[in-house]
Amino acid sequence: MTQAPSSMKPADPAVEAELDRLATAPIVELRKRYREVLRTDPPKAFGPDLLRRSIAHRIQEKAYGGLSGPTKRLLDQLVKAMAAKPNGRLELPRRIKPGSELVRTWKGKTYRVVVRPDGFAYEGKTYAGLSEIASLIAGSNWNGPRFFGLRSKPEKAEDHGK
Amino acid sequence: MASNAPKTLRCAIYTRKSTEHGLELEFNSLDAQREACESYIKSQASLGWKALPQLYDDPAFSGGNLERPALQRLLKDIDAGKVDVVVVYKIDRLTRSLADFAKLVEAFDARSISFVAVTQQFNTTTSMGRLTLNVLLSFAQFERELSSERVRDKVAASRRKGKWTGGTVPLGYEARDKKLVINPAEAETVRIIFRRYVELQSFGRLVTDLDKRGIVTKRRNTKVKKFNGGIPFTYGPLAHFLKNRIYLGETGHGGKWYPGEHKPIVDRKTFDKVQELLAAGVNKRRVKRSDSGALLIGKLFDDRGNAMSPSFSSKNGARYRFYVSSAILRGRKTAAGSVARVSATDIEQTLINALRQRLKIDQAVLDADIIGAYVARAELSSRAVKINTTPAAKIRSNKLSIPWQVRKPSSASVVEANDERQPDAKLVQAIVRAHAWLRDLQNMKFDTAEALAASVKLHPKLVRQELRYAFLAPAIKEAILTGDQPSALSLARIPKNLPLAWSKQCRTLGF
Repeated sequence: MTQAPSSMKPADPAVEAELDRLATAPIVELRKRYREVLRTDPPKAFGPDLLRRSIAHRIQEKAYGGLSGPTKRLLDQLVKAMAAKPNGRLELPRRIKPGSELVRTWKGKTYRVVVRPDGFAYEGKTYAGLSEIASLIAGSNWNGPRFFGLRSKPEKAEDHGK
Repeated sequence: MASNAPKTLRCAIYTRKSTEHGLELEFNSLDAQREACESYIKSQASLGWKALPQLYDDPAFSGGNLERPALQRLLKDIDAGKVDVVVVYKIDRLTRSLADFAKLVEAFDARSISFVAVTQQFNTTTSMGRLTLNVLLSFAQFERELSSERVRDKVAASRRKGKWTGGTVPLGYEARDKKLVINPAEAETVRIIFRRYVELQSFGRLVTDLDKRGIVTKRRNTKVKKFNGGIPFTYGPLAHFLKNRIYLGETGHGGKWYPGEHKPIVDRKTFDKVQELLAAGVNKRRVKRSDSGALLIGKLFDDRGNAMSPSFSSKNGARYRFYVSSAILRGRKTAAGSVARVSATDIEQTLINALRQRLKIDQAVLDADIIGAYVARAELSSRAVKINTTPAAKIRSNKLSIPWQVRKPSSASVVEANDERQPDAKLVQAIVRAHAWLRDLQNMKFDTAEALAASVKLHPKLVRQELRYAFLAPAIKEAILTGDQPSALSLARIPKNLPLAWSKQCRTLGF
């Protein structure tokens, strides 16, 4: 999905100097700087180390750029999943390169889908998503990635009050 | 009666003694009883009484029931008509239970046998004699109940005082002078088991772990040259073991626990934690086996001889029945046969259909009755089910083999274009968790890192340490999330004091 890690911009001497300063700054100054850089009050739980790291991270983001859009979305999604199930296993998205083949046996018959850069090829036609193909094969609505085994295990329905 | 040559009456002498005490003497109580009986028989010689040579001796048997070898032998001989009179020293030698006595009298009456207690003169042929006998026996029974009550009360009182009153010695202890004494080596084993359970939180994993460490149940030598125990732990004994408050230094009686005289092996904190975990793991959806509708209960085995027990799972209100190899139920997957779990309806229907065909069973016979009537035992392998049939099946050899295939689940696989590295779950997990924690702190969900650490049951130091993963350079995070990181990178490689500058982070981590 994403290519090689985003290339670093050349080091900005002003930023590097500020990072050096942060390393030894007293907490009062760190709190002040936090308000300036992050435009909010520092959280109560933050000690000098977390303040220092937050500030350093933010100013570097400003100077060099942060996570790319898709990665940021992925991370947010994972954080949400973890918040919902603190002890559950994280469902990592599987990466498939174009040219790979998805093989699925369904009711005794085998179906093959080839991954293309622009979608998924199945029986001579290219589809934008796997769910479309899965639903075509199964005759009912299916989650494509799950149908083709790209999710390790179907999520168990939470049993309430059992 | 006035005949000159009286008919000989064959007299059986029955003797009994409750305890072993004194039996080792050359002339013991049994001999004394027998001698008294013999002299009485001699005194009745004019009436034709003659003692049988057989000994009916029950040394160290209680009079509370009829489970006594010599008495049973006597009753058998009475049935066979070998005895005319039963002679005992006192009535209570025969039995101390009124109900049992009624049974004996019935057996005697049926063969018109009289019986005599040499030191208690009465005649069971008269109503007065019977009354006397019943009164005497009531007292005998009363005496017996009284003494057992006395013992019960004594045991209860000793337990309340914390004394150990015998029984099987638990792992970790030895019995010395009727007291529990810690066996240091075994006590360490006990601690390991408790500790590992807290760490692993699962019986399955615990069993595997104990097997790896070679930890087995306590080996107990018995009086006879034999031993019990010394076998791998299974779930039942493990649960019993982990709940045993003996290890807290307590003794129990009637469901209550009292401070004991022996030393504890496990500290209360660990013990409480274990109880908490055990309570959390209790399966609340227990269904009685008989209600399960499983037709092959007790009949199905896998091809390594493990019984396969019924089990089920539910989804969207539907119940899916299975048979599961007992090896799996005991946490030993590797000991299971080639088919360790099978759909119940699948295997049952296969058997029913095949049996209907092979044995030409009438359509009127219900499906549910077929297995019950014709299958004695079924052994499941990946290719066939071998059936031992009951005689009702009326086939020459009682063996049948029915082809069978494990139904393959619909499979899905990916044929990769070329080797594709997948993200490292541990690294991703660490980063995501750090972000989740950071967000909680930023949202003021927790006022201190300590509060956060308590909520996730981790050490604050660890939480502070792991929070730093949220501040990894975006390039590193991105690589980890997509699986592009240098292959040598692992959590352990990420330094505890991560540099602030991204450029330095990248350099230390090899980007």
